[in-house]
Amino acid sequence: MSKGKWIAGLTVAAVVLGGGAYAYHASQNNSTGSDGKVGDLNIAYKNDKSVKKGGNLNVAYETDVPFKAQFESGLSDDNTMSTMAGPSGGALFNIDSEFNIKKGGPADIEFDRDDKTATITLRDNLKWSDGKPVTAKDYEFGYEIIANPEYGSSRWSDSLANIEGMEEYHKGKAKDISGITFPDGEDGKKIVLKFKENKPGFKHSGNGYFLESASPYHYLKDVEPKKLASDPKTTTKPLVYGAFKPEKVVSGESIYYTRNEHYWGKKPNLDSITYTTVDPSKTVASLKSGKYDIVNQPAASIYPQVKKLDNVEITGQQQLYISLLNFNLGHYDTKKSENVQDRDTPLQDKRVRQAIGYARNVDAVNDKFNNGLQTRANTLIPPVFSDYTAKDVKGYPEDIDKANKLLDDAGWKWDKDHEFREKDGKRLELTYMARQSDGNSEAIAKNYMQQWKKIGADVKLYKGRLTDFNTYVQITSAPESGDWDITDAAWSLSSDPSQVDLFGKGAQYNSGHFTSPELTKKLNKIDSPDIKNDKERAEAFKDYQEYMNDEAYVIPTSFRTDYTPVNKRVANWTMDYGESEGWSKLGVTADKAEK
Amino acid sequence: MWKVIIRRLLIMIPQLFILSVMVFMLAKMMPGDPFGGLIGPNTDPKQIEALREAAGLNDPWWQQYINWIQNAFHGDFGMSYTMKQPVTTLIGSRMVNTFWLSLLAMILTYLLAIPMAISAARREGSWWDRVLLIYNSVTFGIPAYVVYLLFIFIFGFTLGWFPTGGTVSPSATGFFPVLMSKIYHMILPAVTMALLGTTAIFTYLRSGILDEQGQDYVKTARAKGVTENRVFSRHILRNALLPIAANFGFVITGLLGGAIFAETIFGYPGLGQLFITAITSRDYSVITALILFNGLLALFGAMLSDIIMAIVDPRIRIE
Repeated sequence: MSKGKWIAGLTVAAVVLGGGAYAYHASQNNSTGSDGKVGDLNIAYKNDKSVKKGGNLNVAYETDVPFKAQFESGLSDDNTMSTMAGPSGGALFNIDSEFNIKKGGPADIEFDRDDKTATITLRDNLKWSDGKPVTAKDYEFGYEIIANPEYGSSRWSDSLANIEGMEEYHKGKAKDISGITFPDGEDGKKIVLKFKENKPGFKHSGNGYFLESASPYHYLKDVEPKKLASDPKTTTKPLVYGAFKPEKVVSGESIYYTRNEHYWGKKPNLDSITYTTVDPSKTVASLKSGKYDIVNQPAASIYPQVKKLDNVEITGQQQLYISLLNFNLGHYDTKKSENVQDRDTPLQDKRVRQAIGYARNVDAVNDKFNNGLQTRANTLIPPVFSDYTAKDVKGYPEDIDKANKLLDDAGWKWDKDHEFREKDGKRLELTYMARQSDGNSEAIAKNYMQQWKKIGADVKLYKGRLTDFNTYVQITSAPESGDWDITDAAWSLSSDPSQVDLFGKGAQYNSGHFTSPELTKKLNKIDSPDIKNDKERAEAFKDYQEYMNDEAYVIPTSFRTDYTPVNKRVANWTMDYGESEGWSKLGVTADKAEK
Repeated sequence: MWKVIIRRLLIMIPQLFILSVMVFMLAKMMPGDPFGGLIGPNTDPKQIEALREAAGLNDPWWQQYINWIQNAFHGDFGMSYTMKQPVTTLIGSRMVNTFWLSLLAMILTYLLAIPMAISAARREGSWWDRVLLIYNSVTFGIPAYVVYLLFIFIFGFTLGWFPTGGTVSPSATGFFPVLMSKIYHMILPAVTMALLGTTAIFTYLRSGILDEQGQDYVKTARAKGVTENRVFSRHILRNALLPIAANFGFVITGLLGGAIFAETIFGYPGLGQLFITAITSRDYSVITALILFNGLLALFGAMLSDIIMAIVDPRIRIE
C-alpha cells in the first residue's frame, strides 16, 4: 500500500542533479554537530550587532521558472511556492531538529494509543489575517480540499485513508468524514481524529497520516471547488495565520509581506519581507551588489563564487535527500499492484550488483565535481535522522580488488584479451541510463563507465547518450521493464523516514522492481502498529538498512547539504529544522545590505 | 479589397486546422507529461495516475484532439496543467507584459534605426557611415543573450540604475506608482532589445535610399531645381520606406509573439518565457494554444503587410 509520505522526488531530483551538488563536508563530520555546524558550515548566523527595529528584508529563491502563487497547501505542488510562502506560516505544529512534533506551536496534538485517536487543540489566540479565529472546521476543511476530487488536489494519498471515513468521503460514498469530530463544535478549537490503526510515524512531522495546516473555511466556502486553485482567495489574496501576511503577490515574480497584526506569536522584528525569484545566472551578482539579503537554495555549481563574497555569511543544513544507483530487476504488475523481480539479467546475482557498487569512485567524483559539498552515502537513511541512520553500515566505497573478487566468485571470467568478463559464453554487458543534469553529467557518466571497465563490465550508455528528465521519468515510471540495466536516481525525502513507498513490494516508485519476502517484512515492521517505542523503531530501521546494504538492491550514492548565503546585515537567521518562529525573529542591523 | 481580405481570412481556417493537428500531435510525441513533474514528497503515484486519467491524457491523441478543438471553438483552451489556471487567463496576463515590452522596444528600434539609416545613406562612404555599418554588423552577429547579460551586469548590478528582474516592484501600490514601476522595469530590456534590433531596418532603409538616389525621377526632380531636402524627403525617403512598411504587418503581430531570450534573461514574465516553461513542464494545453496563437499572428501579419503595401504603394493592387 502506497502511503505517499516519503515519496521520493524525481522532480526535485531533476533540480538537484541539474544544479550539481550541494555543500556537505560529511567526510569530516557526517552529522549535525552539537556546535551547530554541518561540516564547515554554521547552521545559523546570529550576528552580534544590535538588531534595528523594523526594516525590509529582501529574500530570493533561486529558480529559472516563475513560481505558481498558491497559498492553499492542499492545492500547491510547487517547491518554490512552498518555500516562498514561509513567512506566512502554515505549519500548525512546532517540531524539533529531528522533525518530532512538540508542543507550543499554533496547535498541539495528543495521541491516545488505546483509543487510536489524536486530539488537536488550536491556540485560543490563533487567528486568520482578517482577524477571524482559526476554528476546528478550518482544520477539517483542509481534508475536504485534498480528499474531494472536485478540487483536483494532487495531495491525496492512501496514508490519509488511515483516518476513519476518509476513504469513503474520497470515493464520494459519504458526505462527511466520520473520523473527524469537533467536541466543541465547528467553531471550537478541538478536533479529534479517529484512526484505523496506530502508526509509529505519528510523532514525526510530515508523516502523511494527518494534515498539519488549516484552510479558512469562512473565506473559501463559497468558491466553486473546480475554481479554487485559480481563485485570488488562494493565489493573490489569501488569508494566513503566520507572522507575515502577503500584501501584494505578483504571480510568478514576487510576494511582498507585511506584519500580520493578528499573529499569535512574538511580534516580528521586521516591517516587511520582499520575496522574489532570482535566475541562477544572476545569483552571485545579486548577492555581491546587496540586492538580496538571503538567497534560498542556490545551485552548488556557484558555491565557489559565493564563498569568495565578503559581504555574505554562508549557512548550511543537511538536506533530506539521497541519490542512488538503481538496478533494473523486474517489472510492475499493474493487475496485482506489485513489483515482480523476474528480469533476465546478470544483476539478479547480488555479487554482480555489489561489484558494480564497489567499482564506483564516488568519493573522487564528489571531490572533483561537487566542490567538496557532497559526500558518499553509506546507507539509505540520511544522517539528519541521527536516531535512525545506520552509522555502522559501510556502503560501497571504491574497492576494485573486492569488486573483481566478487565477479570471480560469481563465475564471471576474464576473456582471453583480459578486456571483459564472460560467463557461459556471454559477455557481461550492461546498459547505463545516465541522466542529463548539468555540464558535468557526461564526464561523471563516462568516469563510472571507465571504472566498470576496470572490473570487466562492458557498460554502454542507453541509446548512446545521456537521458533527459522527461524521458527518464517516462521510462522509469512505466510498469514494464525497460531496456536499461543501471540508472541514477535521486529522492527528496519527507521528514518521516519510512521507505516503504520507495522500495516496498507494492511501491510504484520502486523502479528497480526488486522485492523479497524478507524486505517486505523489514519495511512493514518500521511502520507496524506493534512498534511500541522509538528504540524499537530505530532497531527496525537499522535492520532494514543492513539488509539493503548486503543485498545491494540499490547502491546509495550521495548525501548533500543545502547552503544559504546571508548578507552580513541579517540577524537571527537559522536553517535549523526545529526553528518554528524563525521569520518573526529575523531582523536587520543596518538600513542597507552590505556590498 | 474587402473580398480579398475575406478570402484570405477563409484560407486561414484550413491552415490553422492543419497547424493545430500537427502541433497537437507533435506535443503528444514529446516524452513525459505534465504530471511527471508532480512525483515528489507527499504525492501518491496513484493520485498522479488519477489526475492523468481525469485530464484525459490516457485517451488516444486523436480523441484528446477532438475534445480540445471542440472546446477551443468555444474559446476554451482548457486549464494549464501546471499553473492550474485557464489557459486564456494565463496567456492574457502574460500577453499584456509582452505587448508593452515589445511595443516600447519596437518604438525605440524605429527611433534608432531610421535616423541611423538616413544619416548613413546621406553620408555614404564617410567614417560615420562605416561606424554605423560596423555597429549594425556587430549587433547582428553578437549573440543577443551575451549583451543582455552584460547590460544587466553593468546597468543592473554594478551601477544599480535599473531593476534586474520582474515587471513591477513588489512593494509598489496605487495606480501611478505601479505604472511608473512597470515602465521602469521595461526600460533596460526594451533599450537593450532596441540596440540589438536595428540591423534589418537600417539595412533595408539605407540600401533603399541609396538605390532611390540614382533613379531617373530623382534626377528629374533635381534638374527641375527642387531643393535637395525636398528631393530627399518627398521622393527618395518615401520610396525607400516601402520595404519597411511591407514588413510592418509582421512587426505589429510580432509584438505579441514574445521575446524568448530577452524575457528569460531579464526575468520578465511574458509569453516567450511562458512558452519555454510550458515546453519543459510538458504543459500541453499552453504549448498548443501558444503555437496556434503564433501561427495566427504570422498569418495575420502576412495579410496586414499586403494590405499596408497596397495602401502605401499605389502601384500595388491586391487582386
